[in-house]
Amino acid sequence: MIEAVHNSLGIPILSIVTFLPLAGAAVLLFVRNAGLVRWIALAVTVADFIVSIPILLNFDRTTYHMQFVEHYQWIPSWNITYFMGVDGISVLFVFLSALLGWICVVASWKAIEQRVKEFMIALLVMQTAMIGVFCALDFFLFYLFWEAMLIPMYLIIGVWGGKNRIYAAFKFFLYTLAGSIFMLIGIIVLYFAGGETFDIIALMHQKFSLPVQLWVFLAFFLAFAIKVPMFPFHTWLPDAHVEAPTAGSIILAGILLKMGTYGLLRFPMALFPYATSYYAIPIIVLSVIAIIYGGFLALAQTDIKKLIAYSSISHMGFVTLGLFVLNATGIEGGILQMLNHGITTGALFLCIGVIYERTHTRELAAYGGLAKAVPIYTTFLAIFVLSSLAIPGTNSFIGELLIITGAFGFNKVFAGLSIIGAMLGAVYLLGMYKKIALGEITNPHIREAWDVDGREIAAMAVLALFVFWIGLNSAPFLDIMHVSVNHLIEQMNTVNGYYATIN
Amino acid sequence: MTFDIYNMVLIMPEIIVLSGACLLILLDLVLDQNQKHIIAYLSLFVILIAAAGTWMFAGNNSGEILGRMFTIDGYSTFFKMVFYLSTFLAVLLSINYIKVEGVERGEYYVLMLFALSGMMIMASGTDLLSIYVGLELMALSIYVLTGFIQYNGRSNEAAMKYVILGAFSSGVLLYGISLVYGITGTTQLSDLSTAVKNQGSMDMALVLAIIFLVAGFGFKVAAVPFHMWAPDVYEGAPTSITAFMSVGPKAASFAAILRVFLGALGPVSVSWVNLIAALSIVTMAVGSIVALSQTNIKRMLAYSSIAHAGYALLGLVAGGPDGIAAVMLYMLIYTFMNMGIFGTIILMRKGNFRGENIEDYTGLSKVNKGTALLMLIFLFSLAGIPPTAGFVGKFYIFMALIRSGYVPLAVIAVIMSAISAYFYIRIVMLIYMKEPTREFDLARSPANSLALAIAAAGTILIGILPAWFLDMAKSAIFPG
Amino acid sequence: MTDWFHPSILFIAGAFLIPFLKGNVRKAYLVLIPALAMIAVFSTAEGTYGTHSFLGHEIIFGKVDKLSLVFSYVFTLMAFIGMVYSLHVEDPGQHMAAFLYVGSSLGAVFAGDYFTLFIFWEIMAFTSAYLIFAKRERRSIEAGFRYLLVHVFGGACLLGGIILHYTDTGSTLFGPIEHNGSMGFYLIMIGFIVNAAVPPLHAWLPDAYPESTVTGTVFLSIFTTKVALYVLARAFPGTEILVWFGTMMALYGVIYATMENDCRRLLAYHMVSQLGYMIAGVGMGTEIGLNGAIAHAFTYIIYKGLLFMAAGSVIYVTGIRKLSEMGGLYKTMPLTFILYMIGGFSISAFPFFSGFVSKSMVVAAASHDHRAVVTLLLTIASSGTFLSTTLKLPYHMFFGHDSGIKAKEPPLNMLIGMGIAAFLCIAIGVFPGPLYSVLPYPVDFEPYTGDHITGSLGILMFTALGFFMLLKYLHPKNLISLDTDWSYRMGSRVFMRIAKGPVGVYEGFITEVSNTIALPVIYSFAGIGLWIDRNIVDRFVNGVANFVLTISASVRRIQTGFLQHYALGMVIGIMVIIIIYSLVGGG
Repeated sequence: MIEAVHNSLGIPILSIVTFLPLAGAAVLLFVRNAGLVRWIALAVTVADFIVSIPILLNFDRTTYHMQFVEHYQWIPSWNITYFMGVDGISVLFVFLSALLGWICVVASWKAIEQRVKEFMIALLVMQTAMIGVFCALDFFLFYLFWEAMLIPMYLIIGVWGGKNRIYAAFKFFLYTLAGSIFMLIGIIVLYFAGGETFDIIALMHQKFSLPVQLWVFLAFFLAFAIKVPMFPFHTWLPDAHVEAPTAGSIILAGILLKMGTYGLLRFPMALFPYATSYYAIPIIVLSVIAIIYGGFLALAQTDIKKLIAYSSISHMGFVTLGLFVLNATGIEGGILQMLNHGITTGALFLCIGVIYERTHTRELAAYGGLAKAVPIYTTFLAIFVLSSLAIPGTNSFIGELLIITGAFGFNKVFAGLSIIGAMLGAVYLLGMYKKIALGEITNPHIREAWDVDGREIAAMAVLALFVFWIGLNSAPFLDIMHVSVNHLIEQMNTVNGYYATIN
Repeated sequence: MTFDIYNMVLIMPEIIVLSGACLLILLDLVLDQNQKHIIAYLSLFVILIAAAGTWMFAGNNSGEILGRMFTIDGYSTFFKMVFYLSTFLAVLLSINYIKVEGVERGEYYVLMLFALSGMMIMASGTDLLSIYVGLELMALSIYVLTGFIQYNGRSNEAAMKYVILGAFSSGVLLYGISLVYGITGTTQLSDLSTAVKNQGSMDMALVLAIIFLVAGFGFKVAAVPFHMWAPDVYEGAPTSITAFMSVGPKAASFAAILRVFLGALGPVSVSWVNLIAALSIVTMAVGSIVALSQTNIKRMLAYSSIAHAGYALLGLVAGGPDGIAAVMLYMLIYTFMNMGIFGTIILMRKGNFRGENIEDYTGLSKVNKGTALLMLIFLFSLAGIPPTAGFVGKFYIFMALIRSGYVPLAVIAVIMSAISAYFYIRIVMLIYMKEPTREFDLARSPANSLALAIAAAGTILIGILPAWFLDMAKSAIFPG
Repeated sequence: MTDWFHPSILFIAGAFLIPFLKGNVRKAYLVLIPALAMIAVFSTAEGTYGTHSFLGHEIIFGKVDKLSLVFSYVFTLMAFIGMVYSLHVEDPGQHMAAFLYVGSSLGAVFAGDYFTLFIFWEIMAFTSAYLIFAKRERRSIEAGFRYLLVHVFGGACLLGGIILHYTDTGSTLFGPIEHNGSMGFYLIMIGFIVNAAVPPLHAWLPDAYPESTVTGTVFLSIFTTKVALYVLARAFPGTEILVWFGTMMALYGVIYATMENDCRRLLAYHMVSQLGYMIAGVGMGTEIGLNGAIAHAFTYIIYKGLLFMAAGSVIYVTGIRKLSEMGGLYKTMPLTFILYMIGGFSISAFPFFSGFVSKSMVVAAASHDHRAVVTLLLTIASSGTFLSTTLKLPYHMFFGHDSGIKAKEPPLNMLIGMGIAAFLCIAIGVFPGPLYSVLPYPVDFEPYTGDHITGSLGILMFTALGFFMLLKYLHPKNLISLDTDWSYRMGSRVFMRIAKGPVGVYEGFITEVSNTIALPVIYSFAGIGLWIDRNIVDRFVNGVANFVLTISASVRRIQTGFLQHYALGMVIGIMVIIIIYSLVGGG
C-alpha cells in the first residue's frame, strides 16, 4: 500500500537534489587547485539549491500524500526499498538544507585555508546525507543517511575545528551514535511487529501493541532527543557548536537539530499516537526546562558562539513544546519554528564567523562599537538578533506565537513558563547586541575590521529576506504544511480512539 | 560406500589445493632465492583454479560422500569462497611483506595452501572426525606460519603459546567428541541429531560433551574465556599471517560450529543456547572494552576480532535460517574489512620500522590521502557505521536476534558496538586530526594495492548493495 | 483601504526615504510628511477599514472612532511640531527612528485587534529605544538597554494576556475587557501599565528619558505613555484599581519631582504625575472622567512637549543638566524663558492655559463621582506641580544666582517648534470649544466658572507664597546634588536615600531594583545553571566514558603474557561453566 500521489515532475527530482552534492564531491576528488575546488563546490551547492526550488513550486498543497515519490526494489529479501518522497512536513526542510548548503560554502570561503578540498568534500557528502534523511521513506534508507552523517560531521568538527576540537568531535560522535543505536533496535522491532516491512508509510497504518509502542517510542525518543538536543541530553551541543568551524555550526544549528524534531514528528508521533499522548506531559516538562534552563545558560556565557549555542537549546525547547501540545496550532508553530530557527540561528553563526575572521576573538568583552566600525554588518546582526528574540515582523515571532497559543490551548502553566523563557531570550540577546555593537570601540582589531564583502552580503541578504518574508507573510509556508499536519492530527485521534476502545 | 570417481570429482577442489601445494614444495627446491615470488603467483593460480572448481560443482550434484563424512552443498561452497578470498588476499599481502621481513621462503605459501585445504575440509565435513582432521590440518600450518620469522623472539614466543594452548584446546575438543560418541554412538552429524532427539536433552554427560565442544571451538574463534592466546599471537605473528588467521580460520571454525550446533545439536539447543549467549556477551564486552586501552594496533585488532567473534556468536544464539545466513554474511564482510585494515598496516612495515604503534599513524592523511581514506573506510566499517559493509553485517545479526525474540541481547550488543566505535574512530582521529610527527614511507606494491582495492570494493559494495550477497548466503544455508 | 489612507504608511514608508535625501530637501520632507499625515487624519471619517485575515484571525488596521481620532490628531500635530523642533539634527538615523516611532504609535491607535496592536506596540518599543541609544554615550546605552528590557517584559505579558484572552473568549478584537479577573485580564493590564509608567513599574521612565537626545526626549515624552493611556481607555474604562493607581501616581511623581535636580528628570517625574490624572480619569470610567482624561492627554501632550523642548533647548545651548549649576539665563534666553513659562502655567492649570480646561475636568469628574479623597489628593498634587515645574525649575534655571553662563537663544527651528506649541496651549486654554467637540462623549462642562477659577488660583497663589518663603530650603544644592553623582552605585545610594525620608528610600529602591539588583540576580542564577550544566549533567556523561576506560585499563592487566596463566584461565573458564550448569541443572 503506497499512499502517495505520483511524481508530478517527470524526473526523479528528489534523487537529483539528494545525490547532486555527492556527485560534486566525487568530482572534487580529482581537482587539485584549492580555488577551483571552492568554485566547484559553490556551483554544485547553488545548482542543488536551484533544483530544490521546483520541488517547492510544484508541491501540491491540497494533499497529505507523499509527493515526487520514487520507489524501487533495493534489498528484496529484507523487503527494503529505495523509497523517497516528501510531504508538507519534510519538503520545507529539503529546501532549507539546500538553501543553507551554499551558504555554508560561502561561510567557509576564507575561513578554511587548510585542506580545502577535503573540507568541501565532507561538506557535500554531509548535504547529501541531510537531504536524504528528509526524503527517505524507508526506515533502512533513513537510518543509512542518518548514521552516514556522523562520518563527515565528525571530520568537519575534528579536523577544521577550534582548540578543543577533538574532544568535541568525539563527544558529538559517540553521543549521537549512542542515541541512534537504540533507534536501530527500535526499527528492527517495528519491522517484525509491523509485518516485516521497513516502509514507513505502511508502518504508519499498523496498530502496534501497547508494550511495543511504549518501548519503541522511548528508543526513538532517545535518538531524536539527543539530536534536538533536549535537556538533559544537550551537553554535546555547546562543545560541538563552539569548536566546529562556522560552516559546521551553521549545519549543526540549521539542520542537524531540526532532524531531531523532524524525526520526533515523523516517526514516534505518527507511528505511536498512543505512546505520544502517554509521554506528552514529561516531554513537555523537559521542553519547558530546556527553554528556561537554556536561557539561563546562555545568559552566563562570555563567548558569543557559546551564547548562541545555548540559545539554541532554549529555542529548540520551544519547538518540542509546540510539537507535543498535540494540537494543530502548536505543531504548525513547531514546524515553522524549526524553519525559522534554522534560518535565524544559521545566520547568527554566519555573522559570528564573519566577524571572527576580522577580529579573531569571540569574547564578548573584546567587542564594542561595531556599529561605528562595520555598519552594514551590524545592521544584519541587528536583524538576526531581533528575529532570534522573536519581535513581531520577523519569522520567529509567528512561530513562537503559534507555539505559545497552542501551549495555552494545552496547559496555561507551561505556556506561562515558556513566556518567561522568551523574556530571558530578550535579556541575553539584547545584552549581547549591546555589548557587541554599541558603545565605544575598545579593540584595535575592530577599528581596522573591514565591512562585509559581496559574498557575505549575498548570503546574509538571502537569509534576511526569509526572516522578513516569513515574518510578514507566513501564510504560504503554513499552507504547505497545513494539510499534512491536520492529517497527522486526525490520524492520531483515530488511533487514540481505537486504543480508548480496547482499553 | 564405494570409492568411485564421482566422489573424486566432488572433492576435486580440495585435491587441487593439496596437490598444488605439494607441487609447489618441489618447485621451491629448484627456484633460487630471488624467484620465490613465483610460488606466490602460482599459489594464487592454484586458488583460482580451486575456486573455479568449487563454483562449478556448486548447487548441482551435491551430496554426502566418503561415508557421509564429507558433503558438497551450498553452505560449504559459500564458506569455501570466503576461504579462497581470504587466502587470496593474504597471499597478495604477503608477497612484499615477507620480503621486507627477510623470510621469503617457498614453504610460506605452501603452508597457507595446506591451511586453506584444512579449512575447506572443515566447511565440508559432516562428521565430527572429518571436521577435527580439517581443523588440525589448518591449525598446524598456522602454528608454523606464526613462528615463521625465526630471528624474531616475539614471533617464536607467539608460536610457542599458540601451539601449546592450541594442543590443549584440541585435546578438550577431542574429549568432547569422544564423549559425544560415547553417548550417542556416532560422530556423523545427521545421525547425531536424530540420536540426541531421542536422547533426553538434560543428560548431564551430553551437556558435559557440549561444554567441551564449546570450549574447543571457542578457542579457535577466540571466545572469552578461551581468547587469551589471541592478543599475544596476533601481535607476534607476521602481520600477513595475523590478517589471514583473523579471518580464514575464524570463518572455518564458525562454519563447523554452525553445522555442529545448529545442525547436529539443534534439537537440544536449550542445553547450550544460554551458554553461547553468555559467552557472546562476555566476549563482546571484553573485546570491546579491553581494546580501548591498547597502544599496539595489532593487539587492538586482536581484541576487535574477539568482539566481532562475539557478534557472530549472537547469530548462533539466534539460530534458524536467518541466524545461519547472518553469520555467513558476517564472515564474508569481516573478511573484506579486516583484510583491508591489516593490508594498510602491512603498508607501514618498511625497513626496520614496524609501524605497529597506534601513534605511528598520526597525521597520515597529510601525506597519503589515499591510504588514509582507505583506513577511514575500513575503520568505520569495523565500527559498523553505514553505508559500509560492517553495518549490514551487524544489522542482519540484530535482525536475526530480534526475530527469535532476543531483544535484550540485541540491546547489549549495540551498546558494546557503541563502545567499540570509540577505539576505531580514535585511529581516524590520529590519522586526520593530528599533525604528522614523522616522515611516512609506505611499502607500496602492485599486489598490496590490488588486495586493498578488492577489500575496499567489497566493503563499499556490500555496504550499499548487499542484496546479491545476502541472497547468496540465504540460499546457501544447510538444512538445519 | 480605498476610502481611507492609513497615516502610518506615510511615516513608516516615508522613513526609508530619509537617508537618501540631503540638506534642505530633507528638511522640507521632514515637515511635509507629518503635514500630509495631519491632513489624512483630519479628513478621516469614523468607520472600520483595512480588514485582513491572518493566521485565521481577522485583523483590523483601521478602527476609526472618536477616541482613536482624538489621539491621532494630537499625535500628528506633535509629530509636526517635534519635527520642526528637531530640523537642525544632522542624524538621519534619529529622524528615521522618530518616523517609525510615530508611525507605529498611530498604527497602535488605529489597531482594531490585539495582534495588530501588539505588533505596532513592539515596533514602538524598539524604535523609541533607538532614540535613546542615539545619544551614543555609555549611560544612555545602559539606560536604553534597561528601557528595552522593561518593554520587552511588558510586551511578553501583553502577548501572554492576548493569547489567554483569545483562548478564553475566542476573539482577538480589541475592545473593553469584562472584568472576569482572569489571568489574561491582568496580564494585558500589566502590559499596558508598564508602558503607562504606573509605579512600581515606572522606573524606566525617569531612568531612560533624560538620557535620550534633546530632540529624542520630546518624541519619547509624547507617544509611548499616551498610547498606553489610549489602550487603557479603550480596554479598561471604569476599572476601580486604576483610580487609585492614578491618584498615587499624581502625588508620587510630584513629590519626587520637587526633590529632583536634573531638569529633565524633574520633567520626567512630572509625566508620571500628570499621567496619574489621566489614568484616574480612565479608572472612574464616567463619561466626564474619560473626557477629562482624554482632554488632559490632548493638552498635556502639547504643553509637556513644550516644556521638554524648552528645557532641552537650554541643555542644547548650555550643555548643563543640573539645575544647581544653572541660573540667570533669563537675560540671555528670554524667548525660551517665556515659552517655558507658558508651558509651566499650562501644566499647573492656570486659568486661560490649556491645562486648566482639562485638568479641572478630571478633578471635577472625581468630585462628581463623590470621591472626596481622590479630589483632595489630585488638587494637592496640582499645587505640587505648580511648585516644582512652574516655580522651582524656572527659578533656578532662569533666575537664582547668576551662574554667568554665556548662552544664546536656540536655533530658529527650535523656537518655531516651541512657538507653535505655546500658541496651542493658550489657544486651547482660551477657546476650549474645539477640543471639547472632538472628545468621545458630549461635554457639559464649563471650566470658567467662578469657583473653579478662584479655587485653583487660590491654591496656586498659596503655593507660590510658600515657595518664595521657603526658597532657601528648596535650593537644589542642599537637596539633590547627591543624586546624579551617586547614582548607579548600589547600596551607597540606598543609604543616602534613607537619610532623606521614606519617599527617597522607596524611589531609590525602585530604580535600584531595575538597574542593579534584578539583572545581577538573574545573572547569578545563570552562573549557577552553568555550574550545574558543566559539573553535574556533563560530568556524568564524561564520567561514564572515563569509567569504561578505567575498567579497560584494569581488565587489560589480566593479559599477563604468561602461558600458564592463559591455560589456567581456560581451565577455570571450563570449570566455572560446568559448575554453573550443575547448579542450574543443565538448563
